[in-house]
Amino acid sequence: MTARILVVDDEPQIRRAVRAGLQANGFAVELAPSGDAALDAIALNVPDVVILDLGLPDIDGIEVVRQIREWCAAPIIVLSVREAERDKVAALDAGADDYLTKPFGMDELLARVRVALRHSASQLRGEPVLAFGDLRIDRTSRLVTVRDEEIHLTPTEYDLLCELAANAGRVLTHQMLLTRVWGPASADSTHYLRVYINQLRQKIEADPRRPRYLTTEPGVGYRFRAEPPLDPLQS
Amino acid sequence: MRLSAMHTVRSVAVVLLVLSATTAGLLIVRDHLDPLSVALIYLISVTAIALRGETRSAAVGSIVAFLCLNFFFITPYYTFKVAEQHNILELFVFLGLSLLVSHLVVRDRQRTAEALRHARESATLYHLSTALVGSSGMDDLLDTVVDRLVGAMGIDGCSILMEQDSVLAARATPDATVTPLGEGLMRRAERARLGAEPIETASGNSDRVLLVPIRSIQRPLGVLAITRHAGRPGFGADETRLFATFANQVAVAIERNALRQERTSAEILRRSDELKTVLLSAVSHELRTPLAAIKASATSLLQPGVTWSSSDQRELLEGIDLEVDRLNRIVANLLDLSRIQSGALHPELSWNDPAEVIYTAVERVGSQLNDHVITINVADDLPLARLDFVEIEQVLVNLLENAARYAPAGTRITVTARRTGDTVEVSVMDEGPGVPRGDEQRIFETFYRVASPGNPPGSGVGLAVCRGLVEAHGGRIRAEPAPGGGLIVRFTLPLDAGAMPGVAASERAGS
Repeated sequence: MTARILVVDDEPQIRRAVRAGLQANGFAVELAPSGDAALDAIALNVPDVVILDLGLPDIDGIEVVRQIREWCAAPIIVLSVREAERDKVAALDAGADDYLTKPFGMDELLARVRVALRHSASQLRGEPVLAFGDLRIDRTSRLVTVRDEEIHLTPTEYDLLCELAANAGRVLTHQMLLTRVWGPASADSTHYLRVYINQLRQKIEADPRRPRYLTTEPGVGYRFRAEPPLDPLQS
Repeated sequence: MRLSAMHTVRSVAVVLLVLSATTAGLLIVRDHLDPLSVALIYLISVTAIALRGETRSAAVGSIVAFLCLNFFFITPYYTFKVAEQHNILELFVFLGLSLLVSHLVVRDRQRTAEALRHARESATLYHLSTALVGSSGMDDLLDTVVDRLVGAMGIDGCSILMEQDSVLAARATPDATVTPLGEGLMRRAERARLGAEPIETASGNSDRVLLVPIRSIQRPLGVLAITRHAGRPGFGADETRLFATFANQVAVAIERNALRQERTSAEILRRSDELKTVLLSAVSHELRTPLAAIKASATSLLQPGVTWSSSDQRELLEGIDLEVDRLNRIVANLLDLSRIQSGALHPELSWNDPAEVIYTAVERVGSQLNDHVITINVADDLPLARLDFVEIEQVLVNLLENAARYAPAGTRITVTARRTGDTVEVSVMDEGPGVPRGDEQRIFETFYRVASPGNPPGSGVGLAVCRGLVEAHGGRIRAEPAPGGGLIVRFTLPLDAGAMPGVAASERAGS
């Protein structure tokens, strides 16, 4: 079955380019030029993924995310500009699944769409074993191996790694990670996160300075990258 | 009233004293003198009285001298009778002459005094006016007026009431020189403001108050309230005129000041317009280069009837992709610059690992660094710092791009981060041509570009953005020549020593 994708953007050029790119990759595309039109379209027929520009002319994009989330679980990817880290975080905390900074490449958008579809299809959360490349996390025995070698993690390091890996491909905000791993009282303690991410990288990454798995999303949070990084010259 | 009575008593006493002394002296030598000589000596005395006193005491002196002359020195002595006929003529000639001389002397003296006072008033006015010209800004101007007036003219207090939202309010009142005007006085001041003439009145504690309107040609501006304590002489007509003149000068100064302010804001507007023009020309140049490349590539691909090999097609498309990224970076810097210049920059500070920022920045600059050798030296003991990840990443991206742009291919670019005291110091060193000596700080100015023909063009925005972002973090940025040529740009970020909450030690030990 073809996945249906709703693209919400007030710029006709962007709508046209995104539709062309998605259709060429076998997706069915619906377009909406405003927040109201988007909410109507979703109410009529729930899409598999929503691509939502945060700078809409009628309703604030974050408000659109909130209204969709009130009754609909379809993955939402928000589009925003570089300077608006605060908006991205707000949209993610309001229930958006991912974000993309404008201007973006079609390859990036397709990768995000595929991650979103995979997540709505099968939740990694329930799987006993998470395996990515040379990294393997056995959640029944709390055993983590890199290249078949056991890695010793503290309980917090393990929880943090599991949280990220279970959401592989998706960005998690600082606040989400702190709340889920350390508890709601630590939501603002970003220094915990810096220290533990650093320790995790030292243990599981081949080159901790150029991480393959635990990547930084500047100003937003962290993302566990499931696929090996694309060679920029081949993209 | 009491004052002028005392004054009269004193001047009569002076007249009597002078004439008694003269008479006593003349009596001693009466036998050796003829009446004409005596009359001349009395004339001298009367002139002396006129030199000191007023018209009235001079006249009294003339008459008393006339009587003394008759009584003591015209035979028969000690009577007012006159024996010889010609003495009568002499006596009346003396009286007439004496009255005339004393009147002339007094009038001359009064004129001299008046001229002196005029000169003094002119001097005072002149000093006040010069002070007004020298003052800058409305508050300074009003302070100057009050200072000068209280110092100069026997005035005990002075305040300026200026119109604010069509209500009078005190603007300049130095401490202790005047008590705030009461309600009744304010009402009278309101009346004075609308009228053209000064109003003299008294305050609650019977101080004398002169309310002088300050008005320009078009409109009333305010009121100058001058106070003299009870007991001092009141404001004479001349003085009142002087204060009115002065108030006019103040009005002119106020108007001029308003004009100057208008001019200043016009000047600021003009300069920011100039800045925008420079920005536009620098920016449109830098924007046009990638745009031209994109346009050329896209129209090539669109040419009808041309079949491109897939590798050529790919090359053109990759060119478009690269140029779009370049455009995006330029726009990002311009947005940062406008936020810096409009004061809208508020870093979102949170705990970050400076090393993570550096490696992320190097990754973002990516393929632009392919032709150079990148070395990253990050000290192991580098602590977390409170910084805005995105903004400091932008600083590093700009510095790296700059190094990659100016340093020749194959040379080394070194990024170093270490702790120095209570700051983190990050530096980017290249082996390029550097900047002309003495220009090391100027490179952070907006639109500064090293003027040399071989240099690749830049907009002069990137480094200005770096400085703005670093300074918004409370840090410093500077450039210096690298040993063996090239440029080192260093920036520091403050470390809030001791502010970082600890991370559970057991967890770290167990790792």
